[in-house]
Amino acid sequence: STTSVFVSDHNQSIENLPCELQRNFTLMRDLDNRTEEKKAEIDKLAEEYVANVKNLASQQRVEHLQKIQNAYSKCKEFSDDKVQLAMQTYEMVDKHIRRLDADLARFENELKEKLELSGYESTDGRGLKNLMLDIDKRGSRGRGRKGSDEDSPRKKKIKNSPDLTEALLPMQPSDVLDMPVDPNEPTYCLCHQVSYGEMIGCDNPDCPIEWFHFACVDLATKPKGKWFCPRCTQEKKKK
Amino acid sequence: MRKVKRWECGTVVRRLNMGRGRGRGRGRGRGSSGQLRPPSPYKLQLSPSRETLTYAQAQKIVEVDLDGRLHRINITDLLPVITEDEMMAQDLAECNSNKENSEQTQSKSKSWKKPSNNKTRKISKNASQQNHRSGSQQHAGSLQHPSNQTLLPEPTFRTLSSVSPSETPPLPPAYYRYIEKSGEEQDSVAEYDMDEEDLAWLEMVNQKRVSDGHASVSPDTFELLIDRLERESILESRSQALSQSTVDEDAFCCVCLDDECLNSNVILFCDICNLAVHQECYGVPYVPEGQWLCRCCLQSPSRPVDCVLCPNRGGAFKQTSDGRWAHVVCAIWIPEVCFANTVFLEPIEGVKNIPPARWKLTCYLCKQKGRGASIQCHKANCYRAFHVTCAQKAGLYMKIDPVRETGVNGTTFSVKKTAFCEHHSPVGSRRDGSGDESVEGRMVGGRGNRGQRSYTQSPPSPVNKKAAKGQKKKNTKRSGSTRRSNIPVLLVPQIPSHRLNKICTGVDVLRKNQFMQRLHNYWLLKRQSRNGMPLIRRLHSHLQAHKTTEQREPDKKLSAAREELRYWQKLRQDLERARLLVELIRKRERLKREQMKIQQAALDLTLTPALVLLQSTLDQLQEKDTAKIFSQPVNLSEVPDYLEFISQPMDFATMRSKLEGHAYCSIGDLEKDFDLMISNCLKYNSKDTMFHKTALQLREVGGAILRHAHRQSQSIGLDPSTGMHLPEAPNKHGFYQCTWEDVDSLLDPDNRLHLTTDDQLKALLEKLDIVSSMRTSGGRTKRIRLLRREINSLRQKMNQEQQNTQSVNGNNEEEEEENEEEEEIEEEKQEKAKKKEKAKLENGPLTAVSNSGTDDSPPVLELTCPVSSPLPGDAPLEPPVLGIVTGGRRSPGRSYKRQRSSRSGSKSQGEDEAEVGETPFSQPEAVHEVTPLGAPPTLPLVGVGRRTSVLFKKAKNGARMGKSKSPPPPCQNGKTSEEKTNGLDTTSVSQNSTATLRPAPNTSPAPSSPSSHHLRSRGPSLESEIDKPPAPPREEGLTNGKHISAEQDRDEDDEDDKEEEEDGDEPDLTVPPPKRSRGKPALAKVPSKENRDISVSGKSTLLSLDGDTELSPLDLVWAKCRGYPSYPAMLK
Repeated sequence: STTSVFVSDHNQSIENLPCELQRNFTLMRDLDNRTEEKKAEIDKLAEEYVANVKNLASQQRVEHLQKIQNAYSKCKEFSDDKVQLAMQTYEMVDKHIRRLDADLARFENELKEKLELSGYESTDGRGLKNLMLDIDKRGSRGRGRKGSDEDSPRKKKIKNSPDLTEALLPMQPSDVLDMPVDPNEPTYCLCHQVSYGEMIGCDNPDCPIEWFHFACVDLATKPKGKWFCPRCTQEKKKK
Repeated sequence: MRKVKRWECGTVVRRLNMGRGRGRGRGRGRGSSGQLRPPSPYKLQLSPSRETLTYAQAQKIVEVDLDGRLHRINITDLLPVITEDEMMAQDLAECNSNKENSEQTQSKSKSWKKPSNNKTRKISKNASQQNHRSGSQQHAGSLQHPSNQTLLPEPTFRTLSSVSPSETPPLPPAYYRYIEKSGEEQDSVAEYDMDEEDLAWLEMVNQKRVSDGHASVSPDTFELLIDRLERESILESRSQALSQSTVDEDAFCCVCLDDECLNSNVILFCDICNLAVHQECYGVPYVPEGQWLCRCCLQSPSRPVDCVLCPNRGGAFKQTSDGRWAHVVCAIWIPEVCFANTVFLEPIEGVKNIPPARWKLTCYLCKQKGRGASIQCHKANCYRAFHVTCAQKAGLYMKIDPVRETGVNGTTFSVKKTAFCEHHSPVGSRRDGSGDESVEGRMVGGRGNRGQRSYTQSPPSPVNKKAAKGQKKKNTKRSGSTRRSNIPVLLVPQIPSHRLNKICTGVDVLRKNQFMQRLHNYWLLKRQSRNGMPLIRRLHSHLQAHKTTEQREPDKKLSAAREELRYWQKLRQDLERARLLVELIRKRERLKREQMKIQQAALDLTLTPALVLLQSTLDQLQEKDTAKIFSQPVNLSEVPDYLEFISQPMDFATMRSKLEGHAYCSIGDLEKDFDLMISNCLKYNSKDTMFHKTALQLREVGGAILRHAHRQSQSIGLDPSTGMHLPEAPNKHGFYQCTWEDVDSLLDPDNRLHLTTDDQLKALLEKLDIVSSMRTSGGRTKRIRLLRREINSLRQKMNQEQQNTQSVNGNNEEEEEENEEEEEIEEEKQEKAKKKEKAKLENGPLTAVSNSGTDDSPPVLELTCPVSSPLPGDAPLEPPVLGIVTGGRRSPGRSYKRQRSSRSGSKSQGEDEAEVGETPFSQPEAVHEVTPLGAPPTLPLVGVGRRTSVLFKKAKNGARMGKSKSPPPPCQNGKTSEEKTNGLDTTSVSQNSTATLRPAPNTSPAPSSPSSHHLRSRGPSLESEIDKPPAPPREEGLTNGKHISAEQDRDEDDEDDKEEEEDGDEPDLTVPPPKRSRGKPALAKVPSKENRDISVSGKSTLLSLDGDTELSPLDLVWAKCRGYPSYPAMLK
């Protein structure tokens, strides 16, 4: 019952997500169209300018260029809006994900309790641990490596291993981990690889890379306070 | 990592695909001929280094290593297919027919491109035969690169009869690997092999069919169908098993119903039926490696067995000694029955010993009479009977206690088994639920629940469930025989007809249904004859593995949770995808924004390249104006008389607006304005003002920048009328391609006689630019020095000319001095450059100017300090920073105007009064008259102010008339400095020395300005400068002591800056001090003194007493205050 509460809870908020996404995307598309129009306009203006520049007085030139300038600033505005929208959208999705993860964790806990209550106390945590582990893995950014092989011969084994995981985890961890690989998946880090494992974000908002693998920046744990990537640190030093 | 792997995999696969079938020959052939072939088109296309590729691109690229060179080929590119035999054919053709070369080549070229795969494949078979020969035959020359002809290639080949493929020796075993087929692969293959029986049957059937006029069925089809039947039966049995045993998660032993699990007594699971039993309860002393099957699955797979002792199915069975089956529990509980082997708990013996009375008991739970043997309630008077398994199912109280009996024979161990009907269950267990009347109530308890799940009732009449009730009586009579007769039917799971239809889909047989029926029957019989053993072994064992994982049927809650979880995970996955998508979008938009900006910049560059160049030049120029003196137009309200001298004011802001208004067409225009600006400044400000110096400095630096811009614009090729690029790029006569000879020749004055001095200067400066931008070397520094010297001398000459034309007195000397100074400076510079090894163009002039500035500094300091100090905001803002040339100038930026205004004030004081208030020092006269500060104005001050004002007026007048300035007593400066230095030696000698030295050079340039305007403008500034030092400090010191000290501090700050400038460069300037005195009008002294006093008095009366010294004391004080550790030894 609790689970269904979670889900229905979630359903409501998540049901809106597609609509919102669509709305944002349409907005962006709209902006994009307008940008394209502006660009066409700019092209035209530029052509005009090139054609007539000899006959134009300096004042006219200035005016003409000003027009182009204005068009560009409009374009920039649009671009900024688009970026803003994209960031918003990302935040939105991210928020949902975080919430879902939290709920999932809660769900798992409840399930665990329930199991314990219903006489599975004897089961040591292996199954659940696995389960939690999986969830952790899923929760973490990107996909971890495939979990440990779950096909260990369970047969005649002790009742310790009555594989709750298998009962509970309809999907093998690999199902999640082996999401079809998107060739367009963005790459991050100095190594230009896709995200995996734990990642750390550079605190420079204009960092061109943004996310780094812990290993690639010689981190083992999350550092306290602000963290800047090697490049941004260099840049900073220069300034 | 993952990506990389993927990438590599891709390449490998691709390579395999490309290379397969063509054998090694291809690679070799290509390899050997590689050098001779010009690069094939695709090679040319993509040789991008890996770094330049985006990730996405890299994904689509295959790396091929040929001849040690890496070739990257896009996977979307079409590659010409070159087969072995093509090369062969060419070889042969070439060998055979050298005469017909022309034709041959054509056909060859045709043959190169071969788009059709089929053909090449066919050919490649041939080719593989000829591989060996061709490989050996090929020689490098035989290959040609694919021609660009668009004709469809045609294969040309010859079959060689003489060639026979040689046997390839078997490879070492390491090359062979058994790869197991995947499930799908196996599914698509019929694994069943017909035996003789099948053949016979099929023959019979076919005969019948043929006689009926139907086509016979092929053995292949038969095998396929049997195979499918087998699979279906497995599935069926599995699903049955699923429904049978739901006992998994909370696994408990189905004999003792206990879930306790000890290491010595673990619970085992049957790998087929998933039966869970304790080792001890089922008699498995050792846990076997590998799979373990219960007896039932081992001996009678796929056939559910019935217990002879009870009507229930499921649970742990063992065979009886007469080959039937019985539950282990039943055997335990029914007293007459026992196990022959108590360790392995089999076989069950004593079934025959069961008295008929027991057989006849009616189980009160299942109400079935005469089926199996029952036990009775342990309660003395209770005769209720129940089957053991029924009791378990119902959760009755059944307990086995070990009992130790001590009798005559000694101690024996036995077990006491007690079972009660539900009415007589002990209280404890009743509470567990067995006390409840209703079955549902009992189920609540753990054990009752378990027991119930353990068993299912066996159908009373196995043949037909519906008929069960009717036949009940019959069955009970001859239950044993019926069961036996039923066995064959039950052996094999029934396959529903719709499944049968599904099975035979895709099989092309006439009268399908009929045939399938017969086949099914036949199959059933065959299975039965084999005691239910599956016909395909592998399938059976294979599926067992699946079962173990899949069969665990969770209870409803769990399955619900599972569903839930699955849903969530799906959701999570989808969200992750969405996030990825949005992330990509975000990145895209960012890139687009960047692109937009770049586009704009690019468009700017294409439309208005000149503007851009001008702008950057102007920016650079303005950057050099660190004091921001020129950044804004001169405020005419501050300097009302400015326009009297300057007809065309100019400043950076105006220039910029002109620039933006497209008023400039070329660098030349900009330069004009720049020069105008500088000359204005020079004109209006007297020589030793800071403004003058700054202007000179800026002229120097700006000149370099402008020269550079000129060169750039030339090399770019700008159209002055449009401000756009010229249609054709100009020939780039290398600016940097100049040799030492050029420089040297230019250095020789004879070589540039044909030029005007202006041009000469230009040429020299240009060379200087070039040389200084070259790499450092001994030759360079030397030439730089020579060039500078030459330039200086040229300038000197020009100045002289100027002077001559203007015929102004006294100017000559000064000019010369100036030049000398400059030269000296230059030399210093050069020395520095030597040391630093990187004398940048800008540095040179900068340092030079700064030097000159420093020369002047002592006098200037006085002036500027007061000027800037009164602005409370400015002075404190600038902490003294060593070595920063520009440090002191910032505040002067403002003060500059003020200064001007002060000058103007001297001309028209009334107007200036307001400003004067702000900047009392800059306009000493004004201050004194107006006394805006209030506190400081003491009588003497006022008096001085009046005087100064008069003086100023005089000066102005004088200036207008010409040079009216009379040299002030020269000794003053010299004296003051010396005296001071003497006095303060101990603390700060070096400062003194510099200070003392500097005044001299400064003064000299002052008078140099030829024009009357110039002079006049300079006049006031000079006055103010000079005024200060001689002022009698005592009075002021006495009068305003406190008040002044604060200001003094400020002054000091400013001075600090100045000093630092000085510190940076040039300790060598040793120009006789007296010269300086010339320029300074004596009149000015008094008012300036005032200022000085104010600054100095607070500190030390001694200094002030010394009086005549101007700056040096301040410097010293400052140095003291700052705790500067060491000063260079005093000079003189």
